[in-house]
Amino acid sequence: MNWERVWLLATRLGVVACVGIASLVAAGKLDDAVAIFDFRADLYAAATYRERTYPASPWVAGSARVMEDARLWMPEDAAYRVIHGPDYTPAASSGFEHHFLLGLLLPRAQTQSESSRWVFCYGCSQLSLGERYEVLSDSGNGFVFARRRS
Amino acid sequence: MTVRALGGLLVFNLFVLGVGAGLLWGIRGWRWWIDLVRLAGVAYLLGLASLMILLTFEMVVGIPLGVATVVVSGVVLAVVGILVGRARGHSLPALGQARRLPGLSLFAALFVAGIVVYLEALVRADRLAGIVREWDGWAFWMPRAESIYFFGRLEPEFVETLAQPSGYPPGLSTIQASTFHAMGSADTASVHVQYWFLAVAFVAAVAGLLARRVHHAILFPLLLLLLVAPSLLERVTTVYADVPLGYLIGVAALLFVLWLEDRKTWQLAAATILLAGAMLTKREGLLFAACVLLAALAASWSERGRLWPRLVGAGVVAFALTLPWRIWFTAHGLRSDAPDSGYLGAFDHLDRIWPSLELVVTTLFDRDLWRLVPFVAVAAIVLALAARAWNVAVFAGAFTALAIAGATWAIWANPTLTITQDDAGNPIVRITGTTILTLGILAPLLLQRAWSARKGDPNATSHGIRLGPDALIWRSRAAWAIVALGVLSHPGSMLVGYSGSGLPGGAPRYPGAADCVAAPASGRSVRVVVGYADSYLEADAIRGRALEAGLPVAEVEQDGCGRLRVFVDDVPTVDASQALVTDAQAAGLEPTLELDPND
Repeated sequence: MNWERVWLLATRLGVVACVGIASLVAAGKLDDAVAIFDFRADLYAAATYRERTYPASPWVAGSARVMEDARLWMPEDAAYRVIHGPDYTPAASSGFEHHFLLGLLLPRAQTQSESSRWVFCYGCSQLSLGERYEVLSDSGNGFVFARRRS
Repeated sequence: MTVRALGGLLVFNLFVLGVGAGLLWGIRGWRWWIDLVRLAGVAYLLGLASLMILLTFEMVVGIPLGVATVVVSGVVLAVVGILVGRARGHSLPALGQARRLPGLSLFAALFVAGIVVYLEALVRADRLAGIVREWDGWAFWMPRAESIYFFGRLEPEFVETLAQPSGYPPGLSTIQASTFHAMGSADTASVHVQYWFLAVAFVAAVAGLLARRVHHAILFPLLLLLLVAPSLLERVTTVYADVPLGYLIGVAALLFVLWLEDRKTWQLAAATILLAGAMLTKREGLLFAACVLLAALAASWSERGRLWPRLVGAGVVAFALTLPWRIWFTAHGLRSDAPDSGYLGAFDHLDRIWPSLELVVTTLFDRDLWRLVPFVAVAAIVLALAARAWNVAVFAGAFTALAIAGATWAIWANPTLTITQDDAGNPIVRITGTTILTLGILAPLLLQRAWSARKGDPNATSHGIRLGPDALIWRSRAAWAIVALGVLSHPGSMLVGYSGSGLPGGAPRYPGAADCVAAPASGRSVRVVVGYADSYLEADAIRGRALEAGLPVAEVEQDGCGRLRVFVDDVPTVDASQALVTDAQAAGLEPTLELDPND
């Protein structure tokens, strides 16, 4: 028996098996892949501006309405601060809210400066912010956007 | 999400292709234009990687990234390529064989058509995708790209506030910022379509490099198998860097293998640029570039005296191209892209080695994530070894082992990562994606070598495609009709407006401000909208003008589509609104009537 030929044949059978299995799986799952893409496309097409812009995610605490108000209030060269008020409960927020605001509000700058004119506050109310600030948008559950009175 | 944005993206990507074509002509040249068509994917990735390298360098030395910078940089790269090509004596390409379409078997044509349908479905999914479901997208990648877009540079203070280490490489962000310029705005939805261009380029690069070496009956089914891997489906539309990294590393690895077989300088040069691009795409790029280079060293052991200096040189050049960025973030005292525990601190956490290795191996061979891709790849390595196709088999085997070791180290050396496949606690699935993409495109070459190599044959690595008379069905140019059917599938169903086949019917939708306008209805209350504004300042001005015109005090509220609506509410009927409309028009406003939703 020519073992070299047997070896070659076995190798080629292995190649045929690999290609055969790959072909069956690839062809069989193409439909699923297209369905997944189409499902996502339909989902995105049906989404509203707000659903597309503001995550309904526990990672981003805060009201979409307040964040949208802030975007519409602040000029593009503004700087804002994110603070936590007396009623802030970490459980209600992941602590990543300032990361979301960072991208959403560009080119506005996030700052630590206390002299910042614009402020987001978690766990706040007009009372806790004091007279120095005018609340421009209030989520009703402690997330507010305010402007320092000049 | 506009036609303008999509048009800008198309122009930008043609520009990237042009840049890459110039460079490819410089390092390779081509006799026929059809060669450029065949290698368009490689050219595109070359253009992309070289733009990343140059734009990063320019940012580091203080040149602001704007439209002019991107255009001039691309033109300079293309011109350098052309000058190098002329110096090397490359002749201008001719049409020649371009008139002849290569034959395709019916079997292969079905899979090519499948890939086309896949890519058409992908562009639909990309077009309106938002970043709100993509944590790293909104927390890191998009803010950084937007920052470069708005300010033309990376502010150290800004990158320090982001969710990832501030020394994270910025190459991909420079490309994302360039796409924002091309689209005319920081459109974080349409930027997903950029990832479609990357996917197309990857598929085209693999097909272009392998189509003449690997029988189509092997190549296209395996390529489709890779594309339908569940984890890739999940991530191919996200604006992260993991999948682009996989594209660059995979094609670079393929070019290294081809260089080991052909020894053509352009293959090594192109692979070097792609590796540098990968290192600037994501911090794992450095790790995978090392895996690719070490695998190439292992595969060329028998010729180490002749090949290793060139391979080491390629590695040094690739790393040197990323050095300006490393110098920049070190000079600014930013947190480096090293693991949490530092490069040596991992030895304080030896208890994590085994769980990390176990996680990496189980993730690599997880059928729910990758279906059969890793299994076929391992089988292909074994078969290629059995056929003594040493170069590609040793390369793929060594790469697999090194990638497993590297990923284990990445998990082990970051003690903050929990040992889980859950993306919220550990990026192992995304890291493994690069290994899978690389093995997935090496597998067709491995199987081809296993088929065509003969024991004791001195030409065991020859490129002849000897797969019998032809697999399943003879080649014919008529088989391209099946591919054409695939190309026309999505546009056809849209034109006909029929969605019963599972493909979308009707024209694509472009969401816009008009979605938030409700038409008035007779007999129902209406609003007289005196204007829309993009800020409260602007809305106040419109309200003031309306008041001066004698209208009642107008209300201002969000319209739900990103603008502010300034309107007089509670007008009982359309007829009753006419006086208000006339007054507003007299004041130079452009009033419209809308349905009062509170009616």
